Amino acid sequence: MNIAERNYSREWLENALKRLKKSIWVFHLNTGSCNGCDIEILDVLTPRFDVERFGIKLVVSPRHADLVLLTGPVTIKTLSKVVRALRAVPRPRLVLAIGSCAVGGNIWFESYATMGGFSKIAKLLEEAGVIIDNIVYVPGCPARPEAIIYGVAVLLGLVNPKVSYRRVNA
Amino acid sequence: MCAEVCPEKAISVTREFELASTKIDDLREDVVHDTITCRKCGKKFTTKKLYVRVVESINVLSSEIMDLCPDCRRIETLSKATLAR
Repeated sequence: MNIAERNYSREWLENALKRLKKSIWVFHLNTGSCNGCDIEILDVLTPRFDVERFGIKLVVSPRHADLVLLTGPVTIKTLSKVVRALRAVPRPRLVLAIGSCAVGGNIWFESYATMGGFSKIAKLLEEAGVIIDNIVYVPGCPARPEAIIYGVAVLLGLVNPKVSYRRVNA
Repeated sequence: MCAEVCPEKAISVTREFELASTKIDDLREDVVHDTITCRKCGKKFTTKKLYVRVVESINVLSSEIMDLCPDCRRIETLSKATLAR
């Protein structure tokens, strides 16, 4: 069995997540994005927003990463590669789904060529034995750099999410 | 920008960005509309808001067929045309 898929106890996981408060290393995974969100991620990592001062660093291999920055609606062509890349990430495995596409597929939500966002493949990943320990969805087309930084803060439990389901009468 | 070219002025731009959430359902929003019922067959065919908007903007439509659903409207128009002959 793959070491990353070992059945870790809840206690172990909570301890691991507690330790993971700063200096998280990120891996950028494009799953068929238009590159809009990818440019925003570059803005976050480069001196304008400069998240390296918080220790958030881009790594080139998923094996070194704590967090996967996932953009794009997960096209059919990239699905197998996405599963492989996520399997390579060590536990605790965190995902930040960035942009409307990664959240719900955006305008490709019911296309035959895409899976329609990360939320749709969550069950598929579970069946494939790839457990995601925490997911945060960051909507926006593209997601603003501020929103991405806020998403990381939500993921690490530094701030509480502000949005909730709404039902309005027109 | 979509907001600039929107003919219905339905889109507005905000500086709000704190939308991240761990649950996908937090990002959903449902809008509940009143519906218009067809006078003939009783089928619900459009929302009240759209109905009022169309009636206000296009005043050449006859009020007789406006509260009929697309199917009944077709039958009504055809029967009127054939009977007139």
